[in-house]
Amino acid sequence: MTGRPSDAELFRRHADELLAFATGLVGRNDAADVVSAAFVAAMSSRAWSAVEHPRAYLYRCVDSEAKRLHRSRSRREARERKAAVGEGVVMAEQRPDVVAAVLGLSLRQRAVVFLTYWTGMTPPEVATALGISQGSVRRHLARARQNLREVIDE
Amino acid sequence: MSDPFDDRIREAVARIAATRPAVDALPDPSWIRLAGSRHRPRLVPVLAGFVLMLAAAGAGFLVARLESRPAAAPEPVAATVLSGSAVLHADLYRAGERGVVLGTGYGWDAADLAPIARLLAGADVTVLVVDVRGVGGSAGPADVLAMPDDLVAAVDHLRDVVSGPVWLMGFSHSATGAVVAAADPRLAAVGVAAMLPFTSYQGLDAEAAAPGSLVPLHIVGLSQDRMFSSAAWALDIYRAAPEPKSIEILPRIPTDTDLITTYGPSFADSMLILIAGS
Repeated sequence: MTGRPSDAELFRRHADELLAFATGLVGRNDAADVVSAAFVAAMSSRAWSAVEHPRAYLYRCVDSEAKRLHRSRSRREARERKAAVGEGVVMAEQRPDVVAAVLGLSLRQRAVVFLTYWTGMTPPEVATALGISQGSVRRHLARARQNLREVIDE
Repeated sequence: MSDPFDDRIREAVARIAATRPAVDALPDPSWIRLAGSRHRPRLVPVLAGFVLMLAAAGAGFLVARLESRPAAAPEPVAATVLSGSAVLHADLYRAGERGVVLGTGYGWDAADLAPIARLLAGADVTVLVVDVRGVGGSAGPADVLAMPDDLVAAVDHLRDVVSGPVWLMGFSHSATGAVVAAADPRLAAVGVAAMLPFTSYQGLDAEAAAPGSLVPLHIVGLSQDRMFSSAAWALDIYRAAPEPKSIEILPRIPTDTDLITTYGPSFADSMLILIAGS
């Protein structure tokens, strides 16, 4: 016995915060799908039973599913942009406040910002959750803050 | 002492988080392995809707059918299915007017799948268990790439036997073939259930075929399978498939008994829910 909570208990504990994280990454409409897929992916993984930090692993799965969705959405939007001239200009103008600025960050920067500012994770914890180095976390966070400062200091 | 700059970011992130959907927007988590729970099929509506609809529609039917067990399942009679130039052996369990074609995998023939067929037939579903070529009573050689043709032919055969809708249910290798068959416009089934499919097997590529599926797909995987990445493969196929679709991850049960004995009742239960919703 490892003493690790059951999968059902992990779901109960972390579903809400993962939904918030997913909302930050992909928006409200796709958040539930991303979190559902993340749970299935995590618990379908061969590594799952041996995962030491299931919460961090679940965050990573949400991040992966968000990236998967982002890729397919980017492809779709690229196709749609070809057919709809001018849409890109409209999107570029949608930056009126800090919320929009956060949503305008790259997916990776948004993930780092969200985990840092909303969950209060430290850089090592963010690194574990996203499966990247602490150096990468700090670089992404610095760039994100630089981008946001341009908006906030305006 | 907080930094106003950080506070603004924190506030913006909190505003985004506040728009998150409620936890009950997620599928019922009861499918997750629960310590001490009875082994039952759990449907996972990852992209919502389809399975919930099926489950709701099927609940009454399923309860009625399960309560009727063990109904006296009919004895099988041998049948012959023609698939191109191949002559396939099949066992027909004649019951009601709804039908299921159950395809065999390599290593399991029609007789091995009898427990599943009996459960379905006991619930008033006519079942045709077909030995794909090279398996059981069907002459060889085994031809993996012809498996979808064999399953299409078996569905045609059963459609001539029953007046109601027919589902295609594949197990293991034939689950892979069934997913490929789902993209075949000749397939006269109303839906396909793939029990423990491979993503691909010797050129038979379920993941590649899944996007072209023309009927609802239900994919079943086994959690933490020690030999195969069963659940991961199921998820790959599920992701590739168009709506409507559903996925089910069964908990792995440590047991020395064979797959059919252990999971056959779950496969049959899932099939009954799908039939009821079709």
